[in-house]
Amino acid sequence: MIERLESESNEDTARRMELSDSLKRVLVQRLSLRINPDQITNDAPLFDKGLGLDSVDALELAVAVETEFGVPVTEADVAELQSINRLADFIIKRQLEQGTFNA
Amino acid sequence: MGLHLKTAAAIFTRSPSAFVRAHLHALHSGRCSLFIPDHDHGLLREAVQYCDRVTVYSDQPADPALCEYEKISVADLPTHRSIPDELAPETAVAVLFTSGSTDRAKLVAKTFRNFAGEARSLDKIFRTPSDRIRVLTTLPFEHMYGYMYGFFWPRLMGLDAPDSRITLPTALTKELQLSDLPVWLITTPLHLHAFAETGLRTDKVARVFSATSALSSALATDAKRCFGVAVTDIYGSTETGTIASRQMPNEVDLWECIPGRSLSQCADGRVQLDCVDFSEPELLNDVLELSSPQQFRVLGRSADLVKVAGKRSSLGALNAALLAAPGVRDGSFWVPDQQAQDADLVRLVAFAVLREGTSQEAVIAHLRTHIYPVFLPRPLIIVDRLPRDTVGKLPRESLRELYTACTLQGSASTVRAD
Repeated sequence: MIERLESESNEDTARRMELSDSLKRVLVQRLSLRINPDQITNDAPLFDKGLGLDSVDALELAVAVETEFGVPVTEADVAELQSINRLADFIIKRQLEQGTFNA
Repeated sequence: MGLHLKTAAAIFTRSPSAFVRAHLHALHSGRCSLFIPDHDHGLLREAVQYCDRVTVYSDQPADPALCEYEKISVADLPTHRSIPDELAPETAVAVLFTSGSTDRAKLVAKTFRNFAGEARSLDKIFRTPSDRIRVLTTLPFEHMYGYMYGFFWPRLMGLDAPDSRITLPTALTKELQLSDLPVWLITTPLHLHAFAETGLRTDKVARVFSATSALSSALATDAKRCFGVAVTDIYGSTETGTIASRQMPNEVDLWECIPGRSLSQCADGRVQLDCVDFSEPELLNDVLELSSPQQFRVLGRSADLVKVAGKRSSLGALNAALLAAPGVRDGSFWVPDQQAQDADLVRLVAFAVLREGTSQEAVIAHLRTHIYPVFLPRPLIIVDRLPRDTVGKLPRESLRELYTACTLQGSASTVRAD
């Protein structure tokens, strides 16, 4: 039983890391960021003083999250998308609600 | 500059609803509103030179940089719902700042006569009096196009228009679901692209207006698939307001002036706009080919004229050819600084965002059949996105930075046309 729980936990961690890496690649590609995806840390702020994203980027980011990860983004959600970690939390939460996280 | 204002209201608000509340209060209290873009303190200082007294309207905590001005908190203001109907025609309603692809920011003062005349002309051609409509906008109200189409026109004519702005596709979907009325969508190519990409489909939109940057036929076709209606593309500027419109996609690329506007060619070749709502004619920055005083094609901006090896064209015309190439999602030509000084040596650069499966060679092949060889880009730089601003314009400085970044990085995919 404990082994199974540990195995599931490891799988979730691996999926989360995969999602974070995927988000960094999408960010760099879609927003034409002139940095390597590996240079984005999971806790770095995406907007303003962090990666310096602006409101046009927010629109592009919302479209990317919807088209690439199947999760629609509302205006209220944008405030939550402040770092790769929070973006990953948001996508996982919505995918779990939609039943698509493990799909 | 002849601008002189006795009392002005500098609108320093972040939320669209605070902007509406502040501006309506300014209108009802006889203050001309200064629409300061991006809360730029430098522009405020510039505008203040023309005002005897300035009050800052803000919805933010005290800003030390604004301590020298009298300040009103928007939250404390009474709520006005409509534009006062007793305003004299020459009342200064707002001072706007041009920005983007022309020059540096410039003050443009607008009177009630300017705004009301344009709104009545638009109403005459786009709406029958019995139409009940809800107007939704993706633009900030302090932008000329967003102000006229999203704020002034609806409120002058008593149309239903919320004090809010749509910024994401999900917000539009929600608003459309809630609306009992047919919707007019005031938007830009930037947002149309986002709506199309998320696969939005609706039959609740009765009319789509687009302005601020060139609308390609491909994007207009995508937008028609989303909304089921053609896009009404708007031609104008902060200085002139709306001059003309056209339906997109179209077979014949002709702009038609809205009522009260007519165009004529001056002796020097420039085009002059006569408008019943202006005290004097306005010279346009664009190169137009007039079919009649009311119909024309846009060839480009005068400032964008390029001459290479004795051939003349304009960046506008070249951009139109690039955007018409199959598989090009977005694109723009650009004249590098060091070459802009010497027209004979000019070699143009073009940036393009391509759809999957489209090759650079295919784009070049298309351009070869549509523009003179001397204007072919050297190089064509393929990028993931163009640095358009919040209303879809491409400031020259941003293209310069993009070029520098691509050159330094050296990883951008480039191909020479020759």
